[in-house]
Amino acid sequence: MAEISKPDDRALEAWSRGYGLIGQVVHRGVRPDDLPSLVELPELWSALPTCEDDGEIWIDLERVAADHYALFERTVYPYRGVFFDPEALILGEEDHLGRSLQTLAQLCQRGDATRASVHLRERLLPWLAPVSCSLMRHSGPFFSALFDLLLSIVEHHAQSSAVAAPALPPGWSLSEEDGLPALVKQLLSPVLCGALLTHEDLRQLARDLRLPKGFGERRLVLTNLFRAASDFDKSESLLGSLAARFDEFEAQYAGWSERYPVLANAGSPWEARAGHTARSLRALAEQLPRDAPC
Amino acid sequence: MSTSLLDKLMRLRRPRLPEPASAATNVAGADLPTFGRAQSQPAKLTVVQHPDGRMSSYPPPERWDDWTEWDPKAWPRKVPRNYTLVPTVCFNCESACGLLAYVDKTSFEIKKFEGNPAHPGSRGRNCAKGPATHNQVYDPERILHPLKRVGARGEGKWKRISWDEALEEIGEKMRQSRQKRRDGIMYHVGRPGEDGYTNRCITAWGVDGHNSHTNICSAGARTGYAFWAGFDRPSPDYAHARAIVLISSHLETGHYFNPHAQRIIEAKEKGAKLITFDPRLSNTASKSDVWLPTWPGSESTVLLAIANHLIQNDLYDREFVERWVNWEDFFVAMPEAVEDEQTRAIFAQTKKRDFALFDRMLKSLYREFTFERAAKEAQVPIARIEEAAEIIGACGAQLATHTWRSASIGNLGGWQVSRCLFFLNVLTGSVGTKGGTAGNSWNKFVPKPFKSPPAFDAWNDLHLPHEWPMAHYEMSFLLPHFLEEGRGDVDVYFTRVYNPMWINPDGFMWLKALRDEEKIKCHVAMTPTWNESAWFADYVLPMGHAGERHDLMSQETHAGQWIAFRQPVRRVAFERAGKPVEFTYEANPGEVWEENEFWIQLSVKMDPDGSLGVKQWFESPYRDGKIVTIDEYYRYIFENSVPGLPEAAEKEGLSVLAFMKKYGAFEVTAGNYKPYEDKGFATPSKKLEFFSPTLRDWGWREQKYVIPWTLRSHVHPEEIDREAGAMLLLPNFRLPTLIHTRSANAKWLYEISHKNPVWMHPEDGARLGVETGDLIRVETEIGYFVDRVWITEGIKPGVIAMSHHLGRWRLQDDMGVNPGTSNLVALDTDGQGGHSLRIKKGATASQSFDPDTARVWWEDVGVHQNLTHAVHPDPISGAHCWLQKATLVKKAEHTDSYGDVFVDTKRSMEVYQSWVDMTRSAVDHSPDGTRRPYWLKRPLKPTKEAFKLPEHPFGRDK
Repeated sequence: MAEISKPDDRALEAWSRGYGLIGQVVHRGVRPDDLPSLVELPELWSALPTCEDDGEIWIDLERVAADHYALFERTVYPYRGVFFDPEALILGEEDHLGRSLQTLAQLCQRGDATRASVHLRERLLPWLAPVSCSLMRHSGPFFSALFDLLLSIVEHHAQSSAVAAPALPPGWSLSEEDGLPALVKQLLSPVLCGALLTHEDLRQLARDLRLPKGFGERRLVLTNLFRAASDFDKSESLLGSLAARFDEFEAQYAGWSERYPVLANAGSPWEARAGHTARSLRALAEQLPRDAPC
Repeated sequence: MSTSLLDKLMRLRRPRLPEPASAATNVAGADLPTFGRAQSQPAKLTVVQHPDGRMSSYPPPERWDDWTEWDPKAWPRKVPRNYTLVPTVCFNCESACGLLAYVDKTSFEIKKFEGNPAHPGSRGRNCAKGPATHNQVYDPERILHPLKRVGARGEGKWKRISWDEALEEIGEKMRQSRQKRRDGIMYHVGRPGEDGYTNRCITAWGVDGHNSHTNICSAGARTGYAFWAGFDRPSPDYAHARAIVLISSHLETGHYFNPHAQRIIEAKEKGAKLITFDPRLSNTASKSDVWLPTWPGSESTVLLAIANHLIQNDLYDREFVERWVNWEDFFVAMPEAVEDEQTRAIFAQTKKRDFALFDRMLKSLYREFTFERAAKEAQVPIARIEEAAEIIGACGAQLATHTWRSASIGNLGGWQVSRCLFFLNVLTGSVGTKGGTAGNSWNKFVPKPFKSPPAFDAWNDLHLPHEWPMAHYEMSFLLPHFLEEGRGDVDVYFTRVYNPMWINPDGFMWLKALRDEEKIKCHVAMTPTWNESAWFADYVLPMGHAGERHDLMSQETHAGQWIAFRQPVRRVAFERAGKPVEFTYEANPGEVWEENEFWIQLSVKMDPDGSLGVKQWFESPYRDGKIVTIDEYYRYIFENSVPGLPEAAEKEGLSVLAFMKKYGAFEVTAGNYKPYEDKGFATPSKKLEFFSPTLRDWGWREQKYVIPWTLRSHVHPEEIDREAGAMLLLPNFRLPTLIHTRSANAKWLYEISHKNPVWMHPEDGARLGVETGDLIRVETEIGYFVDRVWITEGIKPGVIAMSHHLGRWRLQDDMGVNPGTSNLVALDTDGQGGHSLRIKKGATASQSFDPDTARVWWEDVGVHQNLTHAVHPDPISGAHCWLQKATLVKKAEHTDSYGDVFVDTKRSMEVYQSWVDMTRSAVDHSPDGTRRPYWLKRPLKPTKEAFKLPEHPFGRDK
């Protein structure tokens, strides 16, 4: 068993700088005054998009801003409530991943190792696996490298205290009486189904199955997809494709735990839940009434 | 590894982190302000889930009498404001959406207008025009007192008079006119905004006095629908449609914008496909699955190509067509009904006259409408037309279609556009079905008032002259031309929320007529605000905006019926506070009144002793011999004429009037489908008239008129000599944020859109050598105007387009239309028919009690193009065909200035005459000596006797 050591001041200071930079970037994107720090991180620096102007190569901050907006405002909403609350209630700014990291940075900067550790264990680790997996799935090279760095820091930080598996509320619990709204709610609540189905995921499903999905919030789009699948006799295909998507989530969590073994406990309940959802969807597909062949 | 990570991190700069708060602060880090002490707390909102799944929050109706919320202007202090919430109905377009006025219980000022969640049509939602009612109420330029002209007409000199004086003087003029004749009083209405109230008054006066604006609006579409089914406008059930076809953007950015658009979006969310015909990339076109930028005038050909696809491939609903279409009448009319030899031969050679024969004849008749022909005429890629046809072929009986203005009112023969469009509904069997298209009268509920006066025995030839026996309806836009020809005169001319000189084509002809005190002896402008025509009135009477008047309205917004009650909200607030009000002007700003009460009092003044038989219709149904009050009028309707309302009121322990005052709306029926199953359609045959015996009998016997067909438009490509610099001017598209001519009193709306540049395709821009912002001169048949150009790919090459709302003007710097929303202009005439308008200065900021008037940042408020439009009365529908031949479009000359307008009214009369020459008069073609087919609608139908042709029709006396 590895010895658990109390972090020294240097480690706290280093984590503070790492959390601080990442928290800022997650919260409001990359700004020119972040560049002197980013240049010290070759894996991030080399992933920043560039543009050419007058023969000079520049970091393309507008492109980064657009990527930031697309990722955090349009695709994955990095709020704790979105991932960890069955009703997806967001409590406020402090729920945002970027703000949470800045709080950690602050606590580390003050040398308050105990409160930093509590914050890490209670406010971040329980939903770190699904949010980071979702973000990495939809990220380009720069943000992907940023989250990889974040997870490395968290892993380093978490070595100082044992990582417990987060307690998730009961998962898939559909009964026969439950209708489409309940099914949709289950599938769109990461804490119930194990992962975040984004707009992009739903678009992809609609494209793969050639089904109209309409537009609007995710709940509406998924409801439309189920209705359209029923109209076009593709309900089984839709459930099968959704199950396959949750298989992918399950595999992504397994890969995550393998890459960051110290954090494996934080990922395992999510992995189990995604797997359970995939199996439940297949079971649901089995129950669909089938017409006799013509 | 970890050491290297820490080393790497240590090279980063120390982050600048938000300082932790040491005390309560706001987000900016400043100390929190001291809060005002709330005497009562805001309540929990009612959450309404809409059919499309979205949610909105509203104050719960049980709290409307006493509602508290923080004053947003006091932020960051929390200052509570106590309101009484009064439902009313928007007046800024015809949709009649519900509004909820927040009236301050202390000051009785109206804080804002929001949506009324109890309204079945708008369901709590509004477009930008609804909340902007607040601007209109608090407009610094509004007219607050009755005014009477002093000096010459148009001189701009006015004196304030009392309502009693106005009633006495105008009532006496009406009395004198009515004693002499029954066609001397004319009520010319722009925005009706109510159902039947004024019509009852006019009928009670015993005169043919109703003159509508319909012929510059919807006459073309109405005519096409009327000949099919007897109703004169469509009512699509968008929310349940699988395919939606819209002819133009105009419809769903203008008319019924809010209630229709929200249901179209609902359908789209469920996967419905939207097909839009429009040469302009409008908002609607941009949201469509298939956009067909058709050359104006080619719409019928494209629609018939789609019909042909359904017919040739047996994709049409044979059962429905066999049962409901008058194909047997068509057989009776053969062989004259068609000119096509092959179809005649099929008919002649087939013994059995059954539906199978009709099917073969349809296949033969429409075979010429190929996709190739449609693509060529419309100048649209063939694949898009095919895609539209496939969508329609696969939608079953769930095809929702609509046309209102646009192509139907744009083209000579535009009435065939709605006929061809509805042909698709007939073929798909989607008539009155769920997701299909119904008739307006099935979904609009107009209750009956107490005591209906009998039909009047009169016919005003200035409304419906013999040349247009089938017009829908009065030929109102030709009034100045008729007066010029000497067809008659008007004793008392009411313009009501109507600005004829500005909105109609050929406005200088109107200027001439309005100035002529021999032709229009007394002009009474009933208007909430100044307008160009009111400037030439004898009396200007301020009438209320949406929250300042009573009206009852219903519209065919979906497959259901509802009524909505417009109320003067301050009056209701006064009453709730125990302050009795006798007349609405006591509660409105200044002495702004409402028409309902005004008409009652005026009618009594017209007939004080009852000798004309007018007064009796205005006596209370509850108090013998007393004049009816407005509460009594509506109480009677609600108690006796609205099914289900008394029961609903009783359930809440309220009187029916109190119920309607509380909620402002009531759903009468829901889910109205196929009401024709029992009684058939309102046509002479009770069927859908594919073949129109009426058109045949009234002189329009050719195949292209009697069945759905194409008619060659006056702007057919061969009529536009593009080589010689001509283009087609599309002058009548609407913006969803503006209100015909009345936006100039809504500052929020004008800030959004205030100029109307000429849209031009880059190809045309390159040909003319102009770029965005350059001045061009657009010459029409009767004159020209000068405007800036906007180069955009959003318009079809060869076509230029202008929004029709803008270019308002005033003649006096300190009075008239708002200085921030109008041009100060000079009018001039050469005495030989030449008239000009020149802008002296554009919009300017000004000081008033509203600080926003000093913040006006724009100068360009558009160009008044309608002045330069020649009149184009369609010989059948009577519609003004709005599309104009721009005979020459070129770079502006060095002497031209922005906004210049010139018109030769001699040319106006020549063009007018050339269109009159296309008519087929009832004098020559009436089959029974009447003026008009009796079964066709008229807004107010006189006695049957009055339908007889006159002994001396105008122009036939020698």
